[in-house]
Amino acid sequence: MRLIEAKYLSLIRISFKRVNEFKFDFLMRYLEIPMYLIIVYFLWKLIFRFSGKTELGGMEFSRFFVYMVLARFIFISFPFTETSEEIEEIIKSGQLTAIITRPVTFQKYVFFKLNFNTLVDGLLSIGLFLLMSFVMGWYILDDLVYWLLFGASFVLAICLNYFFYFSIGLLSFWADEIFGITQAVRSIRMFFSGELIPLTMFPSTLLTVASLLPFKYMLFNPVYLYLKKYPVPEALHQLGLQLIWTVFFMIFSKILYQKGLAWYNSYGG
Amino acid sequence: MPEKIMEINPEKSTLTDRGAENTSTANLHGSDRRVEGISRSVRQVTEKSPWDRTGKLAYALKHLRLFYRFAVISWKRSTEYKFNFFLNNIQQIVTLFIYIYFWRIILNHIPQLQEWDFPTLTILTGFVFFNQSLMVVFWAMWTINRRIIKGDLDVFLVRPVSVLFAIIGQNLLIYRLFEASLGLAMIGVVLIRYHISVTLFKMVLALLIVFLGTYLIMMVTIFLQSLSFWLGRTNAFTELLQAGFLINRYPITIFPKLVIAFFTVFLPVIFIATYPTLVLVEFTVIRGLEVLGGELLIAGLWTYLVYQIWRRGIRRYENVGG
Repeated sequence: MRLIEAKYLSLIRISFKRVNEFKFDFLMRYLEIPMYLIIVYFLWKLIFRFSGKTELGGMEFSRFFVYMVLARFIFISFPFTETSEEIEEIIKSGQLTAIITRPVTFQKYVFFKLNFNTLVDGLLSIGLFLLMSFVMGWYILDDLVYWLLFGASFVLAICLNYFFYFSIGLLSFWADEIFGITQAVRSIRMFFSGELIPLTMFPSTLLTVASLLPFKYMLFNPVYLYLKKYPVPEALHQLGLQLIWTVFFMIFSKILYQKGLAWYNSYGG
Repeated sequence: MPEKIMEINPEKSTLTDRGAENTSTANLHGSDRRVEGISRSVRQVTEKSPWDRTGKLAYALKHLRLFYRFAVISWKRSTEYKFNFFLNNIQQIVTLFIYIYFWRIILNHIPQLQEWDFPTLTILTGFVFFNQSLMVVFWAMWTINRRIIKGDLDVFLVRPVSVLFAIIGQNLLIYRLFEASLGLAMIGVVLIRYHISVTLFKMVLALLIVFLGTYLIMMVTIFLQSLSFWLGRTNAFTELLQAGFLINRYPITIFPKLVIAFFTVFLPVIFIATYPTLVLVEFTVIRGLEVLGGELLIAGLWTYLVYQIWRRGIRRYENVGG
């Protein structure tokens, strides 16, 4: 059996054609990075200087900076609230009726049509990040075991993000609008995923709360693994938790979809 | 009934005037005094103000009335789904809490960030929120590029209203003004809690700077969105702009001079939160007025640029089919 069926390959081709059609736009996405780098560099440099410490959140400035940059690179390429919004559009507009009559699985259809390029984007982002690290002399991970752990965590994080936002999108079966939900999740995720500030800078109680939520595994874990901050047994433990959350949201989204489909009705063509 | 004519069609004022002159001539030949009175009133009406002559005032009033209607519709639409409305407001409180807590975490590690301590950073966050809310109220400006590509402007072009106004006004999110009040409330709480005394004039000045700052960012956004007339999809510019907004959350004066200059002229986010906070708690009134003057100059420049690009772009716009 082929890894990806031909019908999904066509969707991937379409998604690539869409990227190709607007090449300029695709390339320009990475232009925000220098702006981000400037902000992060000067802000945290100042915070480090004022703190009088060599380490914050268990990282010295050079690693801390790499953390912030890599988190941004990964963040740009991961599935985000757009996935939920697209699903909402499909359900609300009645396009779902056409999709369910086709010989495709809805989860796969949405992923290959709308989100497959995030995987390519992600790989491209990592490539670009490594190139920048090499040119600028930043820290580069030099351990094969950790590269494997990072790779696994990276792919799991993409899947977790996808299934998470997919599940939120499916709430459109019941909710009249999900804009409020996506925006609320966006804020909470920004804080608890370590995008705004590394979770290791949190007070201990808040860090415990963050560990109990899925957001940590959406961004913080792959970045922290890249920085080799977890010992191997802890890294495996964290990967296990990440896998559990991914499987949880995969199953949860399937259940939601089945329940939602029973609820769904559409009139007209 | 010359006044009536003016009311209906202000552009025809010259013709009406000429007609009045003829009537006056008739009067010279011995017609009754009433005609002379009418001719005088015609002259008075036609010489009232340039606004009336060109009909710009009527045009502006029409847009104001429309804006009010759009706002009412927007409010009704957003409160239609009660649960979503409730969640939106909760989300705003959560986000505000997160932003403030972010500073709390940072200040657990350092006493203060240059001259910025916790109260001033919270005031800054309040202004960020205030501006953010206004930007979301007019969120449709972020969709201009998509509408250009899809050819959705046709429907607006056939209406007797400004195209930009129609795009933005029709999709107002007026309920997000709650967030603005939340930001202002936060500023008020900090001023009281930390006994920071400010004059009413400074408050007004700070608010003026924020409003103008929001207008400036809108101008930059519309400028970048309008590039779609030439470049097609320009989402990247939007993302670039949003990346620039990231700096808005931090006090921009802590950055090097070159960065400050960039975020003052090219992407003027410094007027959104940093300057209003400084004007409120640190600057003298004179310094505040200087900031406002500078902002007005930059706003004028960006308005001119937007006017030019939009005018040229709309001429270039084409769409086949409905």
